[in-house]
Amino acid sequence: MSNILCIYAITGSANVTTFIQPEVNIGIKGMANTETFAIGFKGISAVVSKHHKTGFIHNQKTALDYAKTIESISQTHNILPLRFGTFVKSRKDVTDILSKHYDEFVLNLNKVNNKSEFGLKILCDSKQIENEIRRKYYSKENELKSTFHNGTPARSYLQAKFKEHLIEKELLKETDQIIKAINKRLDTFTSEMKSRKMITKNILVDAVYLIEKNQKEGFIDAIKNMESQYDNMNFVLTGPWPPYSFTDLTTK
Amino acid sequence: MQNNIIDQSKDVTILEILDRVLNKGVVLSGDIVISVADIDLVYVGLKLLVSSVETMEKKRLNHENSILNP
Repeated sequence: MSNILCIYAITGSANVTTFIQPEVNIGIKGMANTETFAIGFKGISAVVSKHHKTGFIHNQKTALDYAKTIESISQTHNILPLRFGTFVKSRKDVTDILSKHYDEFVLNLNKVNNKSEFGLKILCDSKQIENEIRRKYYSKENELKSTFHNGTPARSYLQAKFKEHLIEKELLKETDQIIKAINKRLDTFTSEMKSRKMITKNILVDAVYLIEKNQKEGFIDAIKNMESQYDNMNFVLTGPWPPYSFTDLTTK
Repeated sequence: MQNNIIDQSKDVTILEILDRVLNKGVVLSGDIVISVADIDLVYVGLKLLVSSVETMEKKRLNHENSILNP
């Protein structure tokens, strides 16, 4: 039965003191209750565990175990988490990966050093916001009525579509304003952020923030304060996470 | 109802975790990296995550309303 190695994370860097010594069992359990150990190259390491190629089951439990192992490593080390399902055949393959992408790994490790990721989703009652926009743009509705009046099905359809378009446009404008206000407020705590807007009608913002660990409390307080200002919105904050969303690295 | 919200919140946490390990993080590809199974089997789309967050929020709001207006 052939063995394969699962890679969980890349850790350490020339500048980081928390480098895991190579070949040392690091005392953190991997998937399927395996032991994890580090394979090193010039001051960086890959944390791996050994598995049998056949009989390894990919399911929700192993994916959650994988996340748990990454979480445990990140408690004491600076890491770049790897996507679930990264397996190689041998230790040599691991050192080849570390040497080939050494500069990119070090660059990213330095970027996320001493930082955590937080996720923020801002939810709203889109109907309520739409109604507010309708009230605000009542005169435009009247304009619409005069443009599309006379009630033929085609005109009614066009009127409805145009109204939808106007509301969506205003909703996007409002979302942009909210994102701008939030970013301004969080700027002092944030090293980097990524956001997407209007991923559904009810989720205005889906954002991730990279935060210095010592800025965590201030960041959370700022979010709480903002939530109290936007009383028709709900803020769902998650974290701290290992920096999954800030390792811009896809090797070939 | 409260337990329901806690369960929902737990589900959302699991989905947030799965979204990260399955859709984010460093991607190593190339000849060295091997595929041992179909990862899509455990793929959790963002849509599922988003709908779970929305459901959780709805339940939370209903719960708050039921407390304010018993």
